[in-house]
Amino acid sequence: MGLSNKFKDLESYSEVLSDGYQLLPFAFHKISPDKYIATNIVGEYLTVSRDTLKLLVNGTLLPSHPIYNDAKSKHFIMDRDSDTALDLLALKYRTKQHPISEFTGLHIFVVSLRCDYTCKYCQVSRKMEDVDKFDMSEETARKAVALAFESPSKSIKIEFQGGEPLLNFPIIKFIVSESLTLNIKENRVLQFVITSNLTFLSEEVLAFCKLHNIYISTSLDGPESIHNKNRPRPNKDGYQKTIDGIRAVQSELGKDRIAALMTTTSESLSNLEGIVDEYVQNDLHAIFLRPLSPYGFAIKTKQVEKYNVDKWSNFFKQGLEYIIKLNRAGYFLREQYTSIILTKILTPTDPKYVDLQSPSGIGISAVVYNYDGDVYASDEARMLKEMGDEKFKLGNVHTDDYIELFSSDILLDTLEESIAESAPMCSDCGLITYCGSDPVYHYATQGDVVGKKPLSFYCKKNTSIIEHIFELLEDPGSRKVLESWVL
Amino acid sequence: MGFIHMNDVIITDRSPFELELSLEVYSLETCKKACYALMEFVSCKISTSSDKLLIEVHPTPDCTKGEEELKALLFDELLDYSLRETIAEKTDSIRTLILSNAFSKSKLVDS
Ligand code: SF4
Repeated sequence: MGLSNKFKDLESYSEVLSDGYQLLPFAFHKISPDKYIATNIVGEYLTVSRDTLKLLVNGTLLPSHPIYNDAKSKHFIMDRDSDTALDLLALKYRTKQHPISEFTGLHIFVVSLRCDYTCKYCQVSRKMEDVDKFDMSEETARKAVALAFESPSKSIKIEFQGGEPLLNFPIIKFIVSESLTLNIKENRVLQFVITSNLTFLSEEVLAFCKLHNIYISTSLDGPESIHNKNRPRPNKDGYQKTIDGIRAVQSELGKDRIAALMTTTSESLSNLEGIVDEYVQNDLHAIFLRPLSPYGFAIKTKQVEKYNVDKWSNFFKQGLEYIIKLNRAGYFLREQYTSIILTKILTPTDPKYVDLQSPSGIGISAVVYNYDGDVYASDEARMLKEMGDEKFKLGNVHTDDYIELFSSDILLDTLEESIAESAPMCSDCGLITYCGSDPVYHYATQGDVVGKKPLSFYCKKNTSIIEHIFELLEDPGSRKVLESWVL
Repeated sequence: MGFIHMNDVIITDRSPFELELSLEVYSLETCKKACYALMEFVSCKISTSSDKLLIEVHPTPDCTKGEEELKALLFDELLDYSLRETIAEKTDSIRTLILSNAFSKSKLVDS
């Protein structure tokens, strides 16, 4: 029996509508004792007091009430004038759910685990000399590219990661060439990204990137002292090499062809403005204020425990305040995580960010082909493997075909459990439409893919960021800046 | 219950306490959800007898909140979750109608 047989049709609501309004499904979240955010399944929101919320729910909100029309136009209620409300709501909901049917768009190729750095928070890197053991072979690469093109997604983004991927540049060239050949027939929107520390950025690499319109992503943790402390290189010249690399990419490929990411360690917390200034000085226009991931060496070296969620949230909020101030003074700088959430709040589209999706984006939005052909459901899943846990390994390109990999029990079971709408606490949460689920994170930190959200860093982090964004949206000056960050 | 001051160090008294609620006011489901949401601070043993709900509240070892603050938090959560329950009851069938409309062109729904 399909869904259509299980409910009453629109006629049955006419009695309610002739004398008041019909409540439409929504959830709410308390921001402060008298300030609530009500959100619905299509991501519309209302800011209301507790009393107004009670009136709304109890069916006693009068048409003369200041939020009545807003509640109606944003599909929280429908009355006798709302003849197309349900169709519109259904259409918007379907549009919002559409990305799921697109399936995997981001394909991460770990072409080498070798790296010239010895970063204390890194999960995966291996020694420089182990060429044969930790580099991807042509045979593995060919099979992985073929799998990537089996994804039904209209857009395919291939991201090269490591270790340091440029240590295996020949295989990057091979994968690009294989993909372009396959794409003559496939005609997908094809994009390439190299995530690199830029040490091995030669003229040959730059020319190749220019020819194939390849985007570069790098890491810049802040000023020289922090960057070199977080990301040590034997010659202590990591910062300078990164800056030289950023400048070379900017002048050869264009300023819009490079973005940098930073990772927050305990050293970063007291150096906020210096970190952001570093981005401005280097003419970078996007920054991603990321907390430390709980995987691998980051746990072993006790880096994760050094700062807690409150400290990190304060850091994030102060960072945002400073970044907004810079924007208002005329320097465009977008904070990426905020941009993703803002896009969910202010538009009907979903940017498909792996960690902010329900069901989770693992396998659906992103998949990882490791150097040895193992396939993982997400980048974090392969990091977990480096800690000795293969829970989220989907299979291997040499032994499994597309169907076996993407209908594996581990992927399907995890996806099912990652539907936040059925997870305790998330199912009632007013922020769910902007949040998501992160099964690998919850498995790594709590031993359970669903996770106890009241104790989860992920939940607390998202709650505090989303609440803060709503606060900022109320201030016209900040709102203007935030609106310019929408993706 | 409350705070005990010892040589200027504040130690929170973490003795368990009980709350008795009417099942006519709060459902068992609402009560469970409210307690779950506060698991960072308390673990609760919930039982029912005829028209009553009994919650035995045990502050967690790291909890720094006193009994009154915990009670206030619990009542806030209870009120919010019962309001959510009302929304769910009032919108249950229309939610199904919306989902059905949304996917009516897919093979998920019988025509
Ligand atoms: S993780 Fe937390 S903030 Fe996100 S939907 Fe679940 S309860 Fe809400």
